[in-house]
Amino acid sequence: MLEVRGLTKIFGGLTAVKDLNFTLDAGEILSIIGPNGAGKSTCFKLIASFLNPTTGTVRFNGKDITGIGPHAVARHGIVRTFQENTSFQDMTVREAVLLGYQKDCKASLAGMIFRSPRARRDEREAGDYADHVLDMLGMTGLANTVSAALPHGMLRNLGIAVALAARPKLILLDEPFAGLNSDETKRGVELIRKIRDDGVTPILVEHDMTAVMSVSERIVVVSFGSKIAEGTPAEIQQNEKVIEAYLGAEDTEIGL
Amino acid sequence: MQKTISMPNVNLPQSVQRSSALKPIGLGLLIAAAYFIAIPLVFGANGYLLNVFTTMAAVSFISFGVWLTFAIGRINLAQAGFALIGAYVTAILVSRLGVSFWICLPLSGAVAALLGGLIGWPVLRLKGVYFAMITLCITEACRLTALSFPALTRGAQGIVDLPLPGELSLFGLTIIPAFEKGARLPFFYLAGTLMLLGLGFMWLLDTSRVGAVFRSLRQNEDLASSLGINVAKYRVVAFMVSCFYAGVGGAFFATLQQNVYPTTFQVLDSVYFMVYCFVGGLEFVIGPLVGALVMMISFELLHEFQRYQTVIFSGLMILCILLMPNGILSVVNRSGKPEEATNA
Amino acid sequence: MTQVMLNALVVGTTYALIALGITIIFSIMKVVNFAHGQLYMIGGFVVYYFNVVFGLPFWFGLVMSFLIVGLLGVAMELFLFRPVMLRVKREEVTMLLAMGTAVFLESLALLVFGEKQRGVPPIATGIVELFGARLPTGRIVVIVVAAMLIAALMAFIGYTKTGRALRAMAQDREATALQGVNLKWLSAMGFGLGTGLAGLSGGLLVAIFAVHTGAGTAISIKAFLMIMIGGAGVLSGAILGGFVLGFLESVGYALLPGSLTFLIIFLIVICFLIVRPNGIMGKPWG
Repeated sequence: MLEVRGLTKIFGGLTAVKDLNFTLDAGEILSIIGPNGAGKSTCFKLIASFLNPTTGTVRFNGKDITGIGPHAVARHGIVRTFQENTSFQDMTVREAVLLGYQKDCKASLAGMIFRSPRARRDEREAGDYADHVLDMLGMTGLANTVSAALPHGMLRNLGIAVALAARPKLILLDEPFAGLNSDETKRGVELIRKIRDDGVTPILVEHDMTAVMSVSERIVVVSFGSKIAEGTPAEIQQNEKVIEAYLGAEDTEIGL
Repeated sequence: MQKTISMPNVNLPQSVQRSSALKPIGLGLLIAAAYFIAIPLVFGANGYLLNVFTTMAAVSFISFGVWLTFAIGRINLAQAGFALIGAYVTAILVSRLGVSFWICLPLSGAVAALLGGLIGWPVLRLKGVYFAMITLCITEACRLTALSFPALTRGAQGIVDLPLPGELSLFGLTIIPAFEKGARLPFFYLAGTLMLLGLGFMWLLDTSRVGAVFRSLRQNEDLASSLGINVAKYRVVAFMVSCFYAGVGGAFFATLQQNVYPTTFQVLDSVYFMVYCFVGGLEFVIGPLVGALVMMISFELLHEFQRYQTVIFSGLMILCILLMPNGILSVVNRSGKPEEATNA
Repeated sequence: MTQVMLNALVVGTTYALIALGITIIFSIMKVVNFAHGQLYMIGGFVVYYFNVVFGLPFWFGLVMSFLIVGLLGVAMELFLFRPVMLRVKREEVTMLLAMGTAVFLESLALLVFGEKQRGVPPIATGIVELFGARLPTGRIVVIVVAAMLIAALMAFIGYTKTGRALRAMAQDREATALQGVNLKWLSAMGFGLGTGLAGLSGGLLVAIFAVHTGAGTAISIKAFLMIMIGGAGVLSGAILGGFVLGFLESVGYALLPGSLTFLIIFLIVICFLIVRPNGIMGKPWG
């Protein structure tokens, strides 16, 4: 489904991502992990076309999508979430989720403004889909709450809900568990499985090792921009290079 | 007034939306009818005051454009510049080629929108203060352009003695009779109609999905683009609509005053358009109208203070910002309904 | 050509002083002071009043222009900008407040000072020949003073405790507050320093150009051009922007009519910003 070949990004003189290769099959839960500053987030930005790679290609379902721009990537079916609690501050939960449907609207600009029949059908479909997504995330009761008033954990969910509303085939989750307590994390893990069962393939960039180990089917470990290991959670936990990289970074939270 | 702002959101289910959408439309038409009948009845005898309302309507029309650029999160100080472009397009076409005013009016808007699109495409990548400063420079650049090419614009002398709008007829049927010399009422109705059409379109736009997309751009462009929204395209669309309003408004003023000078619209006017939006409140489509009404009427009330007029006016403006930093309508709103219902 | 370059140097030095003032305010408050040009104009009138009306020395008037306009800035910060910035939902409001202040100051100045153009007697007489070009001595005095002021300001910001605190505040308000710096005092002082510089440059330039109440907007626009060229919020950028604008303007005036010169400068700046949205020295920001 996704094929990353020789992806390299150099900022000034600094190599953030170096010759990264990996592939992903539909329906698989893949995590990219690594110590702080290893280049995981940069990798996401490269895939989602928020950054142009220095060299290398990203192919999605056989099509080259390298550097075509974020909105174009989204139209191919890849949607990313953001670190921290990025949302549309002044919109209600439902408004934000409805907006996620934008790329599937078929009405023209004028049609939307003057409420053509097609635009109305778009709105009906968007509404139905939004209700489905909100239900899946257990946020139906919060539909009319303004985003800015949501608690931290729910804001994270909203980010995922908005991304899902765009009906992606592949969803890039940037640190979905950061700042969540263990209860919320447990629900988050379930949610990711649910998303996958719903037909959306998730990729995670994550710090929380316990969660990563329990949710992932395959893990790619990145250190200083390069891939140092790849395998199942069990294999990764045994991998000496990985342990070394993490100890080197004085990050002992590998969840062993 | 309050009813008109509590418009339903496009995001409500269609059934809910349609039934409650009728209310503000009905109320709006009622207020419009009252405006068209009552103002001429009360002030008809006093041509000066009627003119104040004419100017107010046209100025709020132009300000709707500024409001729209605020909606996408840009502080637009180029509005006076594009109004000047519209004014010159009409003045040149009417005076040199004898084109009918009724063709020039939309055409001026189209030219302004086109130029707005060309300039806006690169410039809209700038944000915040940078965008404000560059648009201010655009206004100034428009004035200098008018000064620098006297062959076309007659430079500082301006284009004067423009004819009044002629008859508008379709298939031999007179739709609008020619404007008579010295008659103020036709201009009052024309400005009022423009204002209502402008407001109506803005309202449709704001409550539609396009309005939601615009608001999303103000709040987070990255997030919007990650959802497949072509941020650059929507930004330019908003800016072009804004410039269209400016161009049409400029063409109207050129014809109302029957002349255009490079100073007809300048930086201070851009600032005032922005002030009207602020005073009325940026959250509401009707904000620019309320702002223009309040500001222009208070400016006229200060008329008898003669040379102290501007000092008191700007003093009041500062005081207004100090006391109600979020606009007049925000006060109305606070006592009215919960916050959630008004984030349109 | 030497003449043009020398003119560019004269104009550039004084422009740099104007740009520094607006940059200081921008970097610490994140507010573009739209009233900068009006404060410049008031500075010019302060010098005119002390020098011509009260018959005191020009240099005394110059010091007073810094102090009076500086204090005006402190008052603006304390009674206008601070209360509004504490309460607003959207940052645009402070910009509008600055614009309102600009209109207010200008209309007030018109009432108090009248419409007449005002100048002061020449501060020095004679003409100096430099590299084959001729410059009035007065202008040389003005550049030397302006250059000394810029150097003094850079030294103040770079090496004094207050200057370092100002820089720290420009980078991170909260962290600075945590270090026990009194932000309230410091930000009022920074604002006053910025406006004081506007007054000072107005006061200094009244020795070359006369001043009138409508001069403010043009100066503000020039100040914006300079900080857009150099990069908003960066002191070195402000100086650079001042010289670039001074150069463009002098070359333009030598070759073209006035209005066309600025039209071309606007176009150059717009094109330049498309390539480098943050100016020459600017850091990326939102």
